[in-house]
Amino acid sequence: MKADAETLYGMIVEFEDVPLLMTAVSKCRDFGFTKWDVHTPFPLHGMDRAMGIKPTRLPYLVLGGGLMGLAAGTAMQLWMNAIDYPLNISGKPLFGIPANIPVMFELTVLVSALTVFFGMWSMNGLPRLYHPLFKSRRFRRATQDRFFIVIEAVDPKFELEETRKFLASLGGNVIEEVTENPED
Amino acid sequence: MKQSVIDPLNNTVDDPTRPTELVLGGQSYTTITETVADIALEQKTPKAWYVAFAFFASLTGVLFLMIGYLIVTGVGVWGLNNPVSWGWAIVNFVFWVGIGHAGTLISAILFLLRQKWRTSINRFAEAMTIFAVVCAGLFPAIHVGRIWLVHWLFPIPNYQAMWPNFRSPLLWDVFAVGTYALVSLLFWYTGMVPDLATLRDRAKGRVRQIIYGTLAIGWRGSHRHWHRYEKAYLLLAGLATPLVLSVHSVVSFDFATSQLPGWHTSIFPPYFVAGAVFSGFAMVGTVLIPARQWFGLKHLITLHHLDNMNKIILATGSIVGFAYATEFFIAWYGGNPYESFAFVNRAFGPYAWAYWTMVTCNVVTPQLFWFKKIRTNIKVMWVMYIFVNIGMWFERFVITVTSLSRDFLPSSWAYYKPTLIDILTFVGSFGLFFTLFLLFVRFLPVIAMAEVKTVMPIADLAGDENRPAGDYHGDIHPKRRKGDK
Amino acid sequence: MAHQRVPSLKDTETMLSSLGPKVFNACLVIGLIGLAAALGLGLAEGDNLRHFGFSYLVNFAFFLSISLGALFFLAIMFITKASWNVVIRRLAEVIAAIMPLLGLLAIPVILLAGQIYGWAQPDARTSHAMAHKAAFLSKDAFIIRWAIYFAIWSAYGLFYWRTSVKQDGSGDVALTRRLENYSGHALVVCSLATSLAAMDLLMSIDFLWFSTIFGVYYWTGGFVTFFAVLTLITLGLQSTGRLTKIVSMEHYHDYGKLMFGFTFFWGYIAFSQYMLYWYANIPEETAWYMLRSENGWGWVALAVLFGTFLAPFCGLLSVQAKRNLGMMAFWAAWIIVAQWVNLYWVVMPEFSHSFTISIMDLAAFFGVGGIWLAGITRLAMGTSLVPLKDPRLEESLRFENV
Repeated sequence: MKADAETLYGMIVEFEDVPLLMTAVSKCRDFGFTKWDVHTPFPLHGMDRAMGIKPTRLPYLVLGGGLMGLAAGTAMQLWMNAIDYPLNISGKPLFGIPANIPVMFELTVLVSALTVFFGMWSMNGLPRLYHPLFKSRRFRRATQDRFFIVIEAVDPKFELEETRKFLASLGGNVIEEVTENPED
Repeated sequence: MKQSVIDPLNNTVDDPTRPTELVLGGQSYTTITETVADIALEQKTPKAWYVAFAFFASLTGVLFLMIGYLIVTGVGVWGLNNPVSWGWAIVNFVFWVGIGHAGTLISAILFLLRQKWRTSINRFAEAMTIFAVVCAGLFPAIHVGRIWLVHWLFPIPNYQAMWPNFRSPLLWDVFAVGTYALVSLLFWYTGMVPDLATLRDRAKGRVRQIIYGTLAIGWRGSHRHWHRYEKAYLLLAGLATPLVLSVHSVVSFDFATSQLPGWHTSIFPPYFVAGAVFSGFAMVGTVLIPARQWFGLKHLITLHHLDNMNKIILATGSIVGFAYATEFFIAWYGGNPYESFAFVNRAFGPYAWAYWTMVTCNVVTPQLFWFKKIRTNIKVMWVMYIFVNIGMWFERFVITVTSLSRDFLPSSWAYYKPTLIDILTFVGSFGLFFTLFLLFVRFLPVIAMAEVKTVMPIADLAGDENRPAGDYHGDIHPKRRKGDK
Repeated sequence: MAHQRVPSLKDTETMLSSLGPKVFNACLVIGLIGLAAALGLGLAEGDNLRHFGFSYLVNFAFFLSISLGALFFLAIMFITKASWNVVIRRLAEVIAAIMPLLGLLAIPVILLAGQIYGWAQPDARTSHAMAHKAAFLSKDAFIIRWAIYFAIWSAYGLFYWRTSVKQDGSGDVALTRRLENYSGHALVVCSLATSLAAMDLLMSIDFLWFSTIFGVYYWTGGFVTFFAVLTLITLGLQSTGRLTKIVSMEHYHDYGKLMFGFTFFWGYIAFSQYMLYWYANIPEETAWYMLRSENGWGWVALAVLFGTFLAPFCGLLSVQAKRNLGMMAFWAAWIIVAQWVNLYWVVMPEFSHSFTISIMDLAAFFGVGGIWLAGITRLAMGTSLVPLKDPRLEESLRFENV
């Protein structure tokens, strides 16, 4: 694969061995890369610390979603059954909390779950059906049985030869350059 | 490997000094991927699959034929009569929605409880949840009478400016089952995305690449993604856990908020949930055992998994038995003559045959699972699952029909019998369930590959050869353990 | 990183040693003074110890529920072959093994049954509603049943403790297997006994009222209180330098999750019972709640709702709270108080239809609690605080929450 610096997306290095990968990842973190990532077929524990990733803010988003669901469930029942069209049924209060709790609860869970789902995917920038990495045949094993470190070319510390040397020192299998533009 | 295990696929030997291996036969990441992905991608579809699919698809046809006939003619085609205005439709609804609960228990509650053996069976169970909820949702929808007004169930302003009555448990059902269906789907799909990406990356044909590629929404295994993904999975599990409690509790409220003897009792919510899990595990087992056999998954869905499932069946079955006993005791203790009549009538009245079928299948036969020999015997356990399925269907039948057919006023007592249409509709719903299931096992990743890879038995980094790995997140090494072939 | 050094038992003090006698003596003195004070106050009221009987019942039921929680905890941990708990399991073992002492503490309840229980009143004996169950709700049957309950609980409680202590010496793996195998029938038998005992102990105060879920309601309250007590005991031991290097934040995180989970479960059970009775609105069922929502008891009911469910639910929701020892101590103490108030609200309205609380309740709390804790300390003094040779101990030391 040939690529000039302008169309270069980044450089990937493949690993087979998790402990080696972990050490390599810590080295990349300490080297000070910012635009880089690790691709693995399954979540590796300890990787957050090895990469230096901060905890996600997703739970707070979900808490907000849940409270919105709760408020919506409460307001909806109050307005529809007690204000807009009050109807006396079996002598129950128009808005009797015990009878309204189930729907309040369900809507809390529903909106929370929708927030988790859409929040997580959008924070991850997915769906995104095309990605330069998909052009690498080797990279297909990232969802199967191989582990990859990717350093993007836009990283301020990225320098073609230097980075290649650095990656070679990590002990991975193969280093590959990935280009930006789709080519057939 | 020091103990003399005769069957290499039997990992049920109880040895407290080491965690049980969950993936057998010296697997590597590569072989796991091949085993699971090739079911969808490479394996030639077995002839049995076509036969089964043709059979169940025709049954589905019968189901829709019956529904069409019902819509055209009216609910008079069912066996409902005056006191028994809730018949098979509600029984089938509760039966199917209960089946779904095992899936959520496996995917959410066992996840929170760090039961790592769930990884091999959770995809199956979650799929089953969704298909069961689809079958369940059909019955109330076709039971409302004027089906073309079914949207009145939802709080949509209609021309009469009226709203649904939120104090009715039947409306709670709409919200509970609706939320449950949607959240289960989100959970299932979220769990499947990384595996769909695996299929995308292994698929050879253009069409498959496009279909799996679209479904995988561009997943590329980025750890920055995994990081949020895992948090999201945990949050969904945390939400699904109280949700699953609420769903069958709300279903039980349909009965228990009334004043009808035999229905109105405070243990109904947890007892219904336990019964739901009980029936659901039996259904998971019913479909898991053939699937494991046909697709060669015995080293992934091991005897240990089945043994654990059988223990849960034993536990929940015993809870159900405990609830039956408590109900009887309080019916006597409370001294309400109607309540005690309802229970004596269940056991010795015109539906005694149904009652004793239920007790035999739900309380008596599952007790055989106290014996390990039976818990680890594939054929026997499969028969037991069928018994539980039958018993739990009859439980709902007994609850619904016995209390309604003989209520407070003896002059209105009547005997309820289903019609052929009732029976064919119910049988047809099995067609729908299994058709969906067959499509699932053929085209989707039937085992959560990414999750199984996290619990693989791979040698410890410290090189301590005596310490068996596996069952630990974190200790991961791609080389096979010494001593494995 | 994934590989921390596994902590070693040598790093930490695992015996009560000199602390044991101090705690034992202090608890015993507090217990005896508390009981004497409560009894004295009760005698001074001149009501044939009726008020004392109710006061005592609340506290007896409270501490019994905690020990039952420990017993069920052990059975569940063994049957699921769980490993995380091994390092703190001895604490649960001694809390459960105190059952024979609780059996002795049950004697005042039995002696004062005539003052406490509706079914023991002369007018109840002639009531139509009692006719069919007069033999069941009689003093003789009551005594026989309590003897059976305590025989069962004591047998299992002592079994877990003794077998585990035996393993400290021999390290025999077969003992673990036996503990696991016995846990199946332990759960079945203890569930039946506990459910019926809850009805005997608390539900039958009003002999007309009934609820099928009542046993679960009592059990769940005890279970969540047990985790709160376990949290405080672990924190207390660590503050004296015991178990410091081996009980980690991961174990507290699990305590927090269990407290949170069972707080929610308690709310679910309480709601199920309340909502169904509220909704059906049948007089014989709502009477129980009516009594408990009028004449000042309504405020206590709201305090129960807020204290046992809403507040700890919100307080323990976040991971940060569960991994903060100050917060954990606060919520554990809160749950203990709230669950006590819950039992007070279940029992006391039967004594006085308008709200009442007295110093005697507090004295009885320290009385029963002091003796209970003294007994537990006495059991813990002889042995290690950790099951030293449990095959899963190492796993328990090293586990990490995902």
